[in-house]
Amino acid sequence: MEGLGIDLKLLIAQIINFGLFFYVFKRFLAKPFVSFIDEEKQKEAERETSLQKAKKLEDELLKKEQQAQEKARKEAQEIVKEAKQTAEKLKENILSQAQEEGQEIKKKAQKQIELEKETIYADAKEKVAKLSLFIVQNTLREVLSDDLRKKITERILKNSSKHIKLS
Amino acid sequence: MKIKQRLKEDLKKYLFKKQEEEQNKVTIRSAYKLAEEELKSIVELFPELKGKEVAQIIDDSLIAGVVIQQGSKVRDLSLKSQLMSLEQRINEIA
Repeated sequence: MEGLGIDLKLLIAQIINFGLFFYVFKRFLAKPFVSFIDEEKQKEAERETSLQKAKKLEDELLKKEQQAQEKARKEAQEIVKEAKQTAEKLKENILSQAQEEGQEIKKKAQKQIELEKETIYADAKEKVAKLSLFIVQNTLREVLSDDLRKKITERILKNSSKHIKLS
Repeated sequence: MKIKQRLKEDLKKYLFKKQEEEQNKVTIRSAYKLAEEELKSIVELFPELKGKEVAQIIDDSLIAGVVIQQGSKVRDLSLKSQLMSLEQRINEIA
């Protein structure tokens, strides 16, 4: 043994030392240390669980947020769509109303033109008749001789038994 | 306004008298001076003119024919009135 360089006494002393250390460690340190380790492990496990829960919650919240955003987007789209439809309808109504009013105005204007035409025509007719009769009267007054006047008077008196004008 | 009864009566009598006088007066308007035969033929045509006082008025605007006025009654047989009727008819037609 001494040839290999192993000191027996030292070895035994070290073994005893180790035994003592082991005994002391096991008796006085192992338990608290192990319990400390266990505690740490438990704490770690708890931390892990809490982390997972928090992650899960975060995922759920994220999902809910996305859903809410999607819902809000859809609602906004619906509102925009409805507003567009309403605006279209309103535009159509206004257009058709404007068209109808335009037609009414046109009709009234045409009626007015017709009335004015008739008035002008009647007026012109009256003036032409008056002028014509005026010319005829003046011409007759100048052209008719006394003989002709007598003959006309006779004729009138003959006819007057049928057509007497009482005024 | 109260009018006296007597005044009313007198007024009535006066107006009736005036009316009678007017009825007895006959005015014949013509475009030229009518001859006696013509006046006779007129009186024959309207017997109510017999025995009335006839006054003649020359009115060139009548052109031809006569206008006989007796009181408020007027008989228009002039060419002028016929031309005016024609004018009215022209206005009515078309």
